[in-house]
Amino acid sequence: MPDKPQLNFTIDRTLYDSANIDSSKFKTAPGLTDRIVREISEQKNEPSWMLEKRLKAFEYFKQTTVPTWGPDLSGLNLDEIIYFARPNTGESTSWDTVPEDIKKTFEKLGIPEAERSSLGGAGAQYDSDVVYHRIKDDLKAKGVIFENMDVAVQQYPDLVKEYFMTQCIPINDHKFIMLHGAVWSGGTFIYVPKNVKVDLPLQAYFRMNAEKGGQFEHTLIIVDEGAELHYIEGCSAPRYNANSLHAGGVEIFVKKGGRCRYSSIENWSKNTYNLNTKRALVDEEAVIEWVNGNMGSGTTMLYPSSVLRGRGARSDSLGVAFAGPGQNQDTGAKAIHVAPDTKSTIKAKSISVNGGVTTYRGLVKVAKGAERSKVSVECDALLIGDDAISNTYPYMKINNSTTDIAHEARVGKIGDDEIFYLQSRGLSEEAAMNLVVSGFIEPVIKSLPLEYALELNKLIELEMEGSVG
Amino acid sequence: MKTTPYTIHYGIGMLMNFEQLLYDTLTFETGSSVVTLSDSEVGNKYALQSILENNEKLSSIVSKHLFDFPLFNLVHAQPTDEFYFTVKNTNTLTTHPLLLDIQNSSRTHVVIVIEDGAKVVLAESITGSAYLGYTLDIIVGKGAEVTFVAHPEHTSMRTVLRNAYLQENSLIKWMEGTIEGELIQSHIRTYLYESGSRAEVKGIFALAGSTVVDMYHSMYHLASHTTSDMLTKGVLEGKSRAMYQGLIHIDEKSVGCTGYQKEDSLVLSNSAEVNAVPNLEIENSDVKCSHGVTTAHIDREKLFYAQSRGISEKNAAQLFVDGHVSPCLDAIPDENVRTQLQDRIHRNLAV
Repeated sequence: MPDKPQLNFTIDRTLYDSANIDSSKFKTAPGLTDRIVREISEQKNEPSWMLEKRLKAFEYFKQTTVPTWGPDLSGLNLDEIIYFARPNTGESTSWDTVPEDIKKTFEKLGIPEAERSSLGGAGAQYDSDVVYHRIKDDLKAKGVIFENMDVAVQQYPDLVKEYFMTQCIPINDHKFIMLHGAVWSGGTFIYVPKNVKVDLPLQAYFRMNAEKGGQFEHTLIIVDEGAELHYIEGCSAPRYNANSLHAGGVEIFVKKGGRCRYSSIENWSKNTYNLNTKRALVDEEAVIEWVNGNMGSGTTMLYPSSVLRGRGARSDSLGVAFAGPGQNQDTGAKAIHVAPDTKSTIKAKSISVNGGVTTYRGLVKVAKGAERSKVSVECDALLIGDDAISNTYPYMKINNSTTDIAHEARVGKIGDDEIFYLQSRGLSEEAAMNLVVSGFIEPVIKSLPLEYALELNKLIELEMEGSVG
Repeated sequence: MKTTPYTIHYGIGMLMNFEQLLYDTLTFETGSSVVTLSDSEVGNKYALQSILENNEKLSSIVSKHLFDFPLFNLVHAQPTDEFYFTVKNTNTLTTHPLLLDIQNSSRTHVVIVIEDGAKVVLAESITGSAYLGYTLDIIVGKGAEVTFVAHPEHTSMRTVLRNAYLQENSLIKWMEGTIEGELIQSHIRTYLYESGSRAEVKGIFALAGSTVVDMYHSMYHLASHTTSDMLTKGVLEGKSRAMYQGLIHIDEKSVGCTGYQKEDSLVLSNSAEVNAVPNLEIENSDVKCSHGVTTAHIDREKLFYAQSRGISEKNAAQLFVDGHVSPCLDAIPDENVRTQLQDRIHRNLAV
């Protein structure tokens, strides 16, 4: 067999877990007040409508209680979180001008390397600010906008005002989106003009460095009629003793005949609360594809949603969640069919190891007008070790007599026979287990670009270490 | 029991009046299985409590779930009628069912203790025009086998909670049919609390008009090597609405359990609504569990095909409905009841 050197790379966990010395040039005090919200807006020199939006969201936030369903959020002390921390640098389009320690972090994570080889553009965010972003010139010439969200507010006020937290995710959606609306900072803004196809994926990487930090990046993607985009997000944070919070917001608009694939690998540290909101509005004949990998974080609540509002719209959702000891991955997907001939597929895979909890929580809603819609939901759970927990809570709400819906879920432990067979072929128990797990998540891996697929595979291998015996 | 007499089809080409059936007699002595209904035990409000006092494990289960269901709480706190009886083991399986007739009651609580090794068929019939609330607790002894058939009767509103507590190697087969009424809330909970116990639920709902049904079938695997199997087939017509919830819970210490759950709905009207929430809570890795939910409609092309073969549209639709519910209908041991139920489904759906 020919050598495949690129397959032999290893991931060092410390690469994700180690923190840089905190050298933020500005950091708010822990907790959230009216003044802090104003301060954030002032620092960013935002137009008055954005400040109003923030204050309104904060008002809603104060009046709303923390949700009582789902995972336990009692360990999250919202008064201790630092809501805004600016790294000691401005935004740059060249790696050379990015400060050494920040650059090192991202280089370790492989950002510039990936950009050169296989990306159409890349962005990197460090705590609350984007420190680097760049897009290939030919895409720029075609009118593709790939910007830091803060800059977009200044440069494209009309587009942002129309789409930012209005119809897709309104500011009063739920407690953590209210918080997000009040303190959001950084993130990505992408606009792909009509009929423009972005061949290479665009990428952003989010890194949380400040202790007890909170990251609230906002991603707004508009794929105009007939356009195509693949956008990838990677996330990580160093490990501290105190809990940190990630409450991002992702809004995607896919216009008539457009196509958008959104992939993300979230690998926050084990004491991060990852309470993320992702939603797409999908128009006529348009397609949204979600690919989600949830590895890290202590508690995750993430349910990417697709609202299929145009005839023939389609949503494909693919997710893999991995929960090791002490982790609670409460993930799932939502598909809301409001237009006829719409189609959605949801595939969710989860692996719980030694005390890890994975939960699939999903919603499929077919409205009266959504005639001839088709839905298929598949959930598979793999349990490894004695006290692993897996829950499945799917909700199907069907208000239509011309639809076909199918939901299936399976839960099982790793087969002793399979492991024994592989061992009889000369594999160690650990290698056999890794092989079975890789086979289990293969459908997700297949839909990722090579380097991400490798990262995901390696991450899972890393998490699996020590689960044998 | 006073029900309107129905003429039903029995076997091939035979007609029978409902009142002539065995079901119309209120007897507690059937075949060779003897039921004691002693005077002292009827109306004893502390019957369940006294059982619980002697069974620590059972009492912990009951107290844990006591506040899950509002009616359960109400009935346990203040039952207006409490009936308690025991089914004795006579080592023979009776084919005649034991009839449980619940009439016009709002707070009835029935406790049935099935002795070790007893085999019995219980048939429940609920009648009453107004609101009806009813709780049933069945304690199934070691190695005992119970088949429970819930008759679908016409009540405008009813709230029913049925619990079964299964001891070692016992078996319960639930069969529930839900057809007419305004608002029907029906929960069936099975606690497999000793090893080797098995449970099965077969449910049918065939709704029309503006009937609203809330059904919840749950299986709590609290001991090792327990098995559960749930299957529900639903048909919705008119403006009816159905909420189906299922739960398979596998406790962290229960190893080698198997759980299966399936719900299929056939939606015949665009104004009908079905909500399906099949839940799994698995706290142990040594397990085999799966569930599935489907919602389908009758394909116009299939109807057309049947019509092209000379079957009228109405008959073709009836064939589809029959085919859809048959896996559950066939689980009813008594042919009379089966035919009667099928008849009522046809009548209610007007297919």
